[in-house]
Amino acid sequence: MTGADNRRSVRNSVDPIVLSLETFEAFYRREYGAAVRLAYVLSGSRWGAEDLAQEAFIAAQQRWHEIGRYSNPGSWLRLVIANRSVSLYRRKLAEGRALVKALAGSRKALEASQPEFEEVWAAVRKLPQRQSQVIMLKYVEEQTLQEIAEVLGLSVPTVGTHLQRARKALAESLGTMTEEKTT
Amino acid sequence: MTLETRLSAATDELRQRTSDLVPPDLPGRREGFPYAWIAVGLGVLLASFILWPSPISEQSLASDTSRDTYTDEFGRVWYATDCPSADVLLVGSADGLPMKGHTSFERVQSYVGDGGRASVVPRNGQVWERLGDGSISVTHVDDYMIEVTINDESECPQMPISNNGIPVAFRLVGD
Repeated sequence: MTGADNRRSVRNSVDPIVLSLETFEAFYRREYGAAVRLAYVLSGSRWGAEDLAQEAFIAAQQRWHEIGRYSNPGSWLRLVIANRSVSLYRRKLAEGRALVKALAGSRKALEASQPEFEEVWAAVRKLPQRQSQVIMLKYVEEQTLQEIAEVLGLSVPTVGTHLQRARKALAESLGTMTEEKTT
Repeated sequence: MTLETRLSAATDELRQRTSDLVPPDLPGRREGFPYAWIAVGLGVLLASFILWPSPISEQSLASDTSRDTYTDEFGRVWYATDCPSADVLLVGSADGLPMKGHTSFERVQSYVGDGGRASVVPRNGQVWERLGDGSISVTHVDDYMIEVTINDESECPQMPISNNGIPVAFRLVGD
């Protein structure tokens, strides 16, 4: 399956048999924590991660009549967050808005990671965009290559290549060894 | 320690650190009848265009002529804040200006929480509005913006910031 096929699959996969659709409310509550984690790891912004995640949820809410019918609305959400989190403009904008909310007394930043863990995430963020997205989805979201391919609109072999290169680069930058797993 | 072990440990710590996140209410979050709310919103918007009074009067404050402003190479006038990357545009093209009505005293006040470090201050600059024929008009009004105090320059945002369409200025504590 090509990347274009996968993109169509993510956006058009409507299961006509599903009669009881999940409400946006349930989707929002279930996915919120994972969405913030994804935004944090990819953006590195303790201030802006929640705003980036909320932006994506607002976009999903506005089109829920369509997205709620996808077989996996979470894939659409992750694609939006993954793209927005690596955009410098979006990240800075989210940080600024979160700062305003914080100073107005309605927002706190995420707690800081311990240095040894932050070193790992910093190394992930230094990878090329696609590689960092693949690493995040593989390890934090624990998705399969097929699922990652659906989220990012790539073919499975391409995801495998990104993952292999990302592991190699991370192992070098962190001075660790990598297990040769590709699934 | 292998790469996979380090990633796994970092992931566990991240999950633990974010386990108590509570989803906040999203703006205008509603289940069902989304089109009804959209219709109400459009109606209110239309009414505001028809009924909107000419420039804010009752709450207007005298322009603060001592404010530090400057003109850039494109002829735009900026209010210089304590965060140079986040100065507030006062005069320029519609792109970076607030929409007419978004910077009224009442509206700005409604976005400033009690007990925080944000306050309502005069802006007095240009705003844009879409006219009946679809064109964009830029006019000067006595309006307002949000000012937040920060403890040091490390808190400065890296670009001009607006909150719900309201420009935000930043001031260092003690200035």
